[in-house]
Amino acid sequence: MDVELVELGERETEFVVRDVSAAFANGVRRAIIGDVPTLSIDTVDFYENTSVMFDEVLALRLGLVPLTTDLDSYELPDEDTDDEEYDPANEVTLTIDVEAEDEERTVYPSDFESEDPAVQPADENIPLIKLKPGQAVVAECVARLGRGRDHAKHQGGVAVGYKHLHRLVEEGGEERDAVRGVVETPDGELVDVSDERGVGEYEEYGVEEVEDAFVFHVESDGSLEPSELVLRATETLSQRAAELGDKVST
Amino acid sequence: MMVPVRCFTCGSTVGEHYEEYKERTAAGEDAEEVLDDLGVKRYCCRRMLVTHKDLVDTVAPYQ
Repeated sequence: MDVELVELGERETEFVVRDVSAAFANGVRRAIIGDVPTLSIDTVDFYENTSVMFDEVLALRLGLVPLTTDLDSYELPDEDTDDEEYDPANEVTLTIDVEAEDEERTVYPSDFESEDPAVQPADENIPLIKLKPGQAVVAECVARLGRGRDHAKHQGGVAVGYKHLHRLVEEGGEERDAVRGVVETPDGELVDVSDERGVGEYEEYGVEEVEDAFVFHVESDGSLEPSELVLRATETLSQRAAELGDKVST
Repeated sequence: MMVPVRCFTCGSTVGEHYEEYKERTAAGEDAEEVLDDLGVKRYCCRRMLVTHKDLVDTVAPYQ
């Protein structure tokens, strides 16, 4: 297997993986979406909510806000036990206390007061609820780690996808317009053909599929860096493979 | 009532861009250009903002 990085941004990354099967590529995609835990608000205690929105609806909105997650300092609750009790060390409490006095006021994730400075809302401009004069929201929210396969609010990877890598060929092949994004030049270089500058000298070229090579596009919701998201996902894959190996050999 | 926090389909946090989108389209800018500029690329996320109607102000008197 060979991995080539095309682009690595704050929230997005694109890379090419070679010599893997489509099944493996899909395994990585699913692991990024469903297996990498992120912190999200899980339970909310309302002390006051005089807004026009019901407690449970507002609690759902609070839960959907992505929180920056440091996976080394928090642990997932053990899957094998049915224990409802969580270890307080693996929880973060965020409090919210907003009152609209004389003027309308909108509650934003930036109003959260987190007990752990490392855990902060990744996006701060989401309007959570608009308060009319006299209305208030006072709540204590507890954030826990969870997986994307259990609830979409724990899904760190957003619109994670992959496609076959195509190579530009001078003669034959299919029409170049059929592919978008990253393709390989005859010299093995990776260029982006969606970008006008990327096409350049290859204007008249066709494309053919490169076998067993995939272009991944991964976007993060801000809770984890895209690179960490991918690395953690592959880690969970190898963990699961090792677990299966153990069980089969005994 | 309020803008959805995340896109129903892909899960990206579209609520983040709503206020700027609203402000700029109200000022006469083209919605397509504003969405491109805000980096809302996929049509699943675009429809979240384009089709949203804020109803908090309508509901507020009946609390």
